[in-house]
Amino acid sequence: MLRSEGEEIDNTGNTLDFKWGKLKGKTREGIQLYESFMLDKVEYCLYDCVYLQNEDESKENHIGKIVKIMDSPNNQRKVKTVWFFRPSQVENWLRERQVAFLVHEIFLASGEGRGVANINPVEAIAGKCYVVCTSKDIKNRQPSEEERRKAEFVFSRAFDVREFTFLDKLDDIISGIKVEHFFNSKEWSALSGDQERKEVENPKSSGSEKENLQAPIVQGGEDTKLKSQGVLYHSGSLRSTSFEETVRLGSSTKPKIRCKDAGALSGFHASQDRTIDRRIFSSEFPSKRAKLAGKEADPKPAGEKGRKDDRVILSKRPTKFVDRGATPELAQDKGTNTHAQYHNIREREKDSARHDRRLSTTITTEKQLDHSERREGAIDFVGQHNWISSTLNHNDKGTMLLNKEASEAPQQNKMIKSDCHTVEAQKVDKTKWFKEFTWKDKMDCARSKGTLVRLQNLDPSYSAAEIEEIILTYLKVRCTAKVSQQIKFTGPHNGQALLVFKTEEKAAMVIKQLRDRCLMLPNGRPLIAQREAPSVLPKSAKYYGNLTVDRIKHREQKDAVSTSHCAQPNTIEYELSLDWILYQKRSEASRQTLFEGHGKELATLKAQLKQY
Amino acid sequence: MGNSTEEYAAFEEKVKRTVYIDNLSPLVTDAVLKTALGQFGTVESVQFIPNYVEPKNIPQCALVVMQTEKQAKAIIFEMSNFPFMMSGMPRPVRALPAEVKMFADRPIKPGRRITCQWLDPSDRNFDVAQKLKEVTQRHAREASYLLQLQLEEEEKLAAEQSETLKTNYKKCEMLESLFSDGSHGRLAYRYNLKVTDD
Repeated sequence: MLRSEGEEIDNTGNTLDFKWGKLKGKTREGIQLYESFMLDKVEYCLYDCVYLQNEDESKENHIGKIVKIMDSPNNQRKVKTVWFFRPSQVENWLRERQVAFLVHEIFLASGEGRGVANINPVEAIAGKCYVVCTSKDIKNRQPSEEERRKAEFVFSRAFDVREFTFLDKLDDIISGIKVEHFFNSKEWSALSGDQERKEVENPKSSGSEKENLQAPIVQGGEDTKLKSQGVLYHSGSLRSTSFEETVRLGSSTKPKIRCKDAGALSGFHASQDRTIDRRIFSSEFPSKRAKLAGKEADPKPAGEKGRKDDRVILSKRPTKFVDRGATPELAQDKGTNTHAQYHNIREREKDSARHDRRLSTTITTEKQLDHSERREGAIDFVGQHNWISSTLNHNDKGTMLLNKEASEAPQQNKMIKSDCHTVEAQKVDKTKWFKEFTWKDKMDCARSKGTLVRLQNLDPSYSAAEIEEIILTYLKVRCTAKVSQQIKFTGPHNGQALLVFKTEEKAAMVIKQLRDRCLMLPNGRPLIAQREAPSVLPKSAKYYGNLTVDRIKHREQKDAVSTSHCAQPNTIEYELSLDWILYQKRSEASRQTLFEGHGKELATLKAQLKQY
Repeated sequence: MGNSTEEYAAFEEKVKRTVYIDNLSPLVTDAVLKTALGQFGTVESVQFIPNYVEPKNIPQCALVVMQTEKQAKAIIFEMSNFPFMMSGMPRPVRALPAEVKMFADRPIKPGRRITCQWLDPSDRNFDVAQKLKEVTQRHAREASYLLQLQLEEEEKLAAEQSETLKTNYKKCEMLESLFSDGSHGRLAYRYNLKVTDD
């Protein structure tokens, strides 16, 4: 029953690196309980915190604590996990209860009911998660400063899944598990510093393959530096290649698709695929960098990079073959390469170290590239650039902090983290690229930079693409346009749009041109451009006309407020609402009159235009 | 070309199924709007119209795409015949048929070529064009001033109504307290009136 083979074939035909650890006991039903297991060369022990694959891959992974490791007679390897909630998962309740929380704080599930714990297949585990308990409970060993800094997440409070409340004190028993197990373990301090090393060198970890896992020891300080540059680099490459990237992504996801085709999509698949993706990110970027650099007039770093790249690949190959045994595809197919690499942690660490180092050298060229690309008039927009970089920087602060904290943690971990980051960023760019919120950010950014221009007197039916084309044809400048949606409060004659230019000079040029000369649109509309001044919209918009009676006691009335309904003619609200309807009609009428007047005035002026 | 014509036709069809709703309270969210209009049919999507160009505090507006044109028409009919409350009383929301220019993502109208013309100061039409510019800007200012006046009016109306409501509420409260502590009986006795407890 006990499988001691390092690898075995799971039912989807893929090899799964799995190994049981120490046997803990056996239940009456014949389920064997273990204290640890190895998955993909990482040892997971009881009460470790792990990331679990979210069913919806686009969402963040779940975080849970392993409280039971089970092997049932029908070979189903399961782990029972007690969940942690990310603030985003309990956002509503945080808001409602006005609970302040730390950026990297998570909440332990507690109470009774759904959502406290689940049993999952081990394949759903996507990696380790370093969580530190900062509870002031006397039984809790207070984490050291060091541990706090290294922690990916901290928790000290629980979230009751039934009452939807936040508890400052953890219950004594959570989902049948004593609370002590949720506190920081005593031996943690010894192990925590380096999770990878813990897995490797911890003498307790039974049957660990030491030769496989020797975490490279990198100087903490330097490492942090490299790291942060790594992150910057990632954001940089995203910034400059957002469009190309999607194409590349398309090609690089090929292996992923194939993987999926190979069998039913299991949790293992998903997690493995993701790792492949990450690998692809990190391996694709540099090579592209090198290519771009080749185009550039900066041969030295380019050559250097190229060389290094080769070396990486060269150094990767032999080990791969040794390690995995060459499958026919392996050598040719990059996807498979990464697939194989994935299993070779040591190699990966070396690689990532090298990647990082190379990144630090490329960072300057990176900037130049950026500029030149802009000059070339590539399709990317300054606004987007700035926006992405600012968001990324913003995000980076978070991860960078984490990264700094994890300065001594193994490279691999961090690499994953930063890659994760890229994945996240990529997601942002894929899913929310042109949505309102992105535009708003872009607009705010452009506004503060003075590259936002407001166009007036457009035909209200023009589309954004048409406006962009007009500007490109007649002013020879590229821009991003957004038409303002005409609502009933604005005049029907005056179509407006907001344009984001790449530089302030270009914006100024356009404004000057349109001021000194006239660009006549068809139908006698001279275009007007204005710099869009920062307008301070009050955060909470005032809205008149929602009345409530102070000290309201009538329950029915209170309930009625929250539902949408047609007012009945026998109520006070009906009577009051008539006033509002009257007002609406009146204001609509006055607007109509005003706009009609405008129309007439414009028509007389237009009549003066002489035809050619 | 055929593709863009099709696209535009699909868009126009969507416009027909869409209801424009304004006078919305800031408390109204996607979900509220969806449930509210869900009473009349199937809501396909809800989009709030962001206010980028108007500096004023105008009430929220939204575009709600329904499944069929009939549903959209029904909503407009109901809402213009009965005051419809959403997330607050007594100011009703207003529903109107949507128009092409209300959409941010309107596609290019097929077959339209926009040709513009630069006018230099020496051009004979230049003065008129400059005047047109001025007039347009003045119009924009006028519209925005009107909006401001209307907002002030709203405020006044709301204040008046709140006063009325308060007075009414006070009256109701007083009556209730009279009935509950039995004062009404004594008053009736004092004024020699007959009251029946029912």
